[in-house]
Amino acid sequence: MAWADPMKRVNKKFVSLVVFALAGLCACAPRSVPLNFPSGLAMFLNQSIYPEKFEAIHRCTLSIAGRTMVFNGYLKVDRPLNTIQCVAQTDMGATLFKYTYQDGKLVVSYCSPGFKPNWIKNFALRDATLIYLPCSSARLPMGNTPESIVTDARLTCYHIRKADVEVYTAMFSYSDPRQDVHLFKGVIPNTITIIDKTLHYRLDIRVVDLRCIPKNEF
Amino acid sequence: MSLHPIQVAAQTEMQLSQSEVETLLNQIESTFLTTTSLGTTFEQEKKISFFEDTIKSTGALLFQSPGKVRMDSFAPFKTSAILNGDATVQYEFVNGLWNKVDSANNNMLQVVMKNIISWLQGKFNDISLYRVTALRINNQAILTLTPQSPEYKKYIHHFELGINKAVNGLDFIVIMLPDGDYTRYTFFNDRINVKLPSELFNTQTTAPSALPSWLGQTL
Repeated sequence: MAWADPMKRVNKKFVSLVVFALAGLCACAPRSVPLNFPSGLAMFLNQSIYPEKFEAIHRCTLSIAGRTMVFNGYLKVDRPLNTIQCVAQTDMGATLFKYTYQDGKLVVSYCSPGFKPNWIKNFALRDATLIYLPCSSARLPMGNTPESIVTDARLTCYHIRKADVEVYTAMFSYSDPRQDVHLFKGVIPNTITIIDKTLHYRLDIRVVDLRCIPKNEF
Repeated sequence: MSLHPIQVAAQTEMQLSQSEVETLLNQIESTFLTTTSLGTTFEQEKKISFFEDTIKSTGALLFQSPGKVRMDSFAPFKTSAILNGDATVQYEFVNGLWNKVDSANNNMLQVVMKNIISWLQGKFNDISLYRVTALRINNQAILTLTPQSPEYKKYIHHFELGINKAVNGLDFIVIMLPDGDYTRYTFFNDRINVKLPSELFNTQTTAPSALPSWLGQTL
């Protein structure tokens, strides 16, 4: 049995998959501007949906370039401190990437050979900040406009448009009551679907668990 | 048996010499080869540096010699991964239904599952792949497999495998990552050489076949 060769083959396949799908898109990453959602939404996001500090376990399905990848995302978020810690792992326990984001600075502490730190910044971190740190640190490419849709007093969707064309959508779904999630102030989204038409990927997130962290711990 | 990879180093232990390791590996291979099928449940413990608590999940492992293995997760979410020869399939249970996932990481999954099959057959001594060391704690042998290839080392720092006292199966597997995080599988209620219907390893169906009731989970 030879492990090294299969691993190289897997790695090459994985690299080629991601490179093919993303490299050209990364290369044209535009200048960015702060993402300033309408203040009402920002207040809603910051005060009504998620706790100030929490840990979350996500089951993620990423579809890109006609292929699908399933992995687990483990996040720790401190919104007052503007901090996200994240690790993505396969089912068998191998880490895909791991990063810490604090006050606008990204430190990628581990990146498996199939990923590049730049992709973490442009995709994984971008999505996490849009969801969890939406008013303070998320950034959008120049010329893009964020919008939000709130129905039944819940955030259900936000769009990002460029020249009136929808380029990015994040949809939040709720299931009441969630007995298996440690709820904060009632209800949190149990699924989040992100569709990026510019970068041609879809990310389906199932929130497996979300636990509030006491304010004096992080 | 140690419960935590960090505790292993803290306990009184007897490191085996290289010749003792060779003897142990030969013994393991000869006894493991008598296992033609296996059904067991497991608890997975995952330690991530920035998480307060260990993340726990449960599941089951099925093995049929020579080339079939299935791993199911029961909670906190349901999944099933099956390797049957060279065919690999993943299933996800979402909103009450099983979905077959055409996953880009199936190839990586296949490599890992074939490695598990090798271990279940007692094949640990591939020196091109691993440097093998061993120690004994409370009469239990624990193998440490450290990858030789620099490429492989980027993914895995080392594996720890706890050999059960009958020396015919594994009590636990620890996957230690390069950044210090780890995943530990602890196995319970092994049934060795039990009859496993071939349908359990079918990769062609839209949903995985229900597990035997003695695994404590009906899907």
